[in-house]
Amino acid sequence: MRGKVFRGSLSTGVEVKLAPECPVEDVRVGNFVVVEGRRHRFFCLVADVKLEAVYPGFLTETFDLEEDRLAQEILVGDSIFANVCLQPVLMVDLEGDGIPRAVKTIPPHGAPARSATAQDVGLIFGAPDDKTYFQIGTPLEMDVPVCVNLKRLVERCTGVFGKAGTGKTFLTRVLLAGIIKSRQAVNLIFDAHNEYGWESKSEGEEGPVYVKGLKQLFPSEVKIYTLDEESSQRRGCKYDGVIYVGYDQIEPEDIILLNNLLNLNATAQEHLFLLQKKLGAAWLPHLLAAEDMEAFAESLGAHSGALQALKRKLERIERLPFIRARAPYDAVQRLLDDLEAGRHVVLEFGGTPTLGYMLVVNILTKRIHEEYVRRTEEHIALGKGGPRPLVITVEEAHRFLSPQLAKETIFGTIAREMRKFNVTLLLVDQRTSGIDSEVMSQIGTKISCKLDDEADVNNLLSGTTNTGGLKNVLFSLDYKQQALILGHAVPMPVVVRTRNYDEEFYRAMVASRAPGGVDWLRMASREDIEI
Amino acid sequence: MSALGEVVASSTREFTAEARELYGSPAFGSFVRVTAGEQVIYGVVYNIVTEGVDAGRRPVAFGTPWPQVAQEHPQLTKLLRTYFSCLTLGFRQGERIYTYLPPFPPYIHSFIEECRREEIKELTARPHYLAHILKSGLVVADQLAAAAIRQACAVQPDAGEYIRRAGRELRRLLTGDLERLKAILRQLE
Ligand SMILES: Nc1ncnc2c1ncn2[C@@H]1O[C@H](COP(=O)(O)OP(=O)(O)O)[C@@H](O)[C@H]1O
Ligand SMILES: [Mg+2]
Repeated sequence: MRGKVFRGSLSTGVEVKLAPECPVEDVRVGNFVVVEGRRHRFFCLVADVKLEAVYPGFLTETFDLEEDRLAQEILVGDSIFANVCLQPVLMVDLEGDGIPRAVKTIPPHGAPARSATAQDVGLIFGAPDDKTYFQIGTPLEMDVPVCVNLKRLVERCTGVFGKAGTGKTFLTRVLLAGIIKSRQAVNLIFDAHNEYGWESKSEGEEGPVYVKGLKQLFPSEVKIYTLDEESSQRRGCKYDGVIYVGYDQIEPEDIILLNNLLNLNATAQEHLFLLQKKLGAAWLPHLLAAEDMEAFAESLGAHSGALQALKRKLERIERLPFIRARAPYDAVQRLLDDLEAGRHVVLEFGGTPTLGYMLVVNILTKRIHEEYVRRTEEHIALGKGGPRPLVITVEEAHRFLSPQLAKETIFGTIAREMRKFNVTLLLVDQRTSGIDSEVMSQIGTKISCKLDDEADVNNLLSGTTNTGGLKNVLFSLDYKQQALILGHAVPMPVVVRTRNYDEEFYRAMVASRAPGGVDWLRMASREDIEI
Repeated sequence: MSALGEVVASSTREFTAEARELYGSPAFGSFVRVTAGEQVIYGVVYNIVTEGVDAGRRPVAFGTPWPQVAQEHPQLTKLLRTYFSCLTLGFRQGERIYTYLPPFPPYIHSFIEECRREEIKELTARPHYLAHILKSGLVVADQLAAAAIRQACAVQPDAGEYIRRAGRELRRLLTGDLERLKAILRQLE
């Protein structure tokens, strides 16, 4: 596109009259546009496109196809024109150091505007390297890499959002691969649907296709632990271990977090704490084993009806595949050892129901976070930098961060304290409106595929300034593989076609990791690897 | 280039000539030139009148069509005259053409000629003449503008582009009056 600035303000954006020969239909909301001021170059995002006329009456005019062909030719595009509303985000002083900084002024009247070039994209988003800048996609209108700054990405919480089927999981896999390759952080991935660790099936255009998991791309750096061994075996997943949860690891708080699923009333919740107080760590097996409820209740000074109801509800926990009276080994310690050694951990849940997923995610995250806090404080006391940054990936994030829970769960805590203890979250979710808006505003980098619910969009943008244009962008995204990225890891909001997670991507990920021509990709495929 | 007529009335804004021959006026909207000392003055024909020499006497009807009537009554051509009036658009002084009013109007009895192609091209290269025409207060101003554009684009290298350019100029001059603009543009198709 080309055009000239004719109106604007810093608060509402800059308006450009589109050159008559440029078709308005080629200008899309979210496009990256550059305006050449006299002393600065302005980098902008198309926030809106509208039709305007020099004289308002012109807009309602109709032109006779025969008689007024000339009038139409002269007026449309010139007197009746497309107004491209731009949101300037960054500017570069042409006589200064060439570093893009936040906009503080606007270009002058008549300043020429044009679509960004490959060079502009490179200047703003950086060139892919194996350390910091990682290609996450390309702009919609050209084929050049758009990078995120992974170092910054892992510094704060990140959210990957979008309706079901828009490509969140694929995009998250791409990001995680980038983090692993760049060694910017270690990952702990709660893989609710068995999509990250090992091969998973996805619906392609011509029937199902198998996509590789992270362990297949980085066999020596990724460990898979399963909570449902049977399911993992059935799927042929090459897991490194099985994780069990002992009854003694479950605390009343963990149960209360499952309230949405268990429907515990206030009395039931009080009884949880009472049980723990009276029976200690083994409160749960005691309750589940109680046969004579009357006597059991009496011994505790509790209400037998309430206890009976509670027991019935908690029996669902007993049936979870990973529950044991005592865990055979300390899973948390094992995970921590791996993370400390720089290995990334994927926790597969197999066929575990939501209840089990939530329980485990909570228990493990709580303890791992505790440990990280301890270690970080230790490091600080010794005057060293903190431990290796940890990124915890959770699918279905709203289950842990709903407005009712966010104040209490460990995830709310991590989101709020940000990077203080070197632990950040990578939240994956399809309903941002289900996530507490305070947590939402703490998320450093937001990556959103298509959202079309007003409430979701509003909540996503809470804490962001100048949201008008971004809203239009979100509504305009395609249903697959397009995303708006904004926040800490990118200098300005950008719309991308997300990078394909395919053979070419696999090759790119293993390429620089195959010294001496070892074919890691083949080694990592199903038959070849022996664990 | 032979003279088309002779100036019989002259003022800053316009001048009128008697055509050399009866009905021998240049066309409505055509560009003419008249030399006045150091300058050449340019105008556009906006009105053509044919009437009796004796202003008080109106010609009488003969019941015979033209030109048969002239063959039968040769004295008639001596009793009628054709006059044409021109709106002044600019002038040449030395090498340059100026598209505004000359300091002095043409002299009476000067000869009027058709403009040369090169002169029209230069005079109308930028559509400034349209402003003179539209602001002239003439009843026929809009029609004159259309006629002048038609004449001008015949000598401009890219007629289509020229018409569009003139159209944009008209759009600016007519501010929001879309109906007038459309009416003029329809005369250009
Ligand atoms: N980056 C990508 N590369 C390849 N295919 C993709 C990509 N993103 C999305 N897809 C396609 O879209 C489908 C849905 O993506 P998925 O990540 O499972 O969506 P979500 O997690 O949002 O429900 C995938 O099965 C795949 O076919
Ligand atoms: Mg998914």
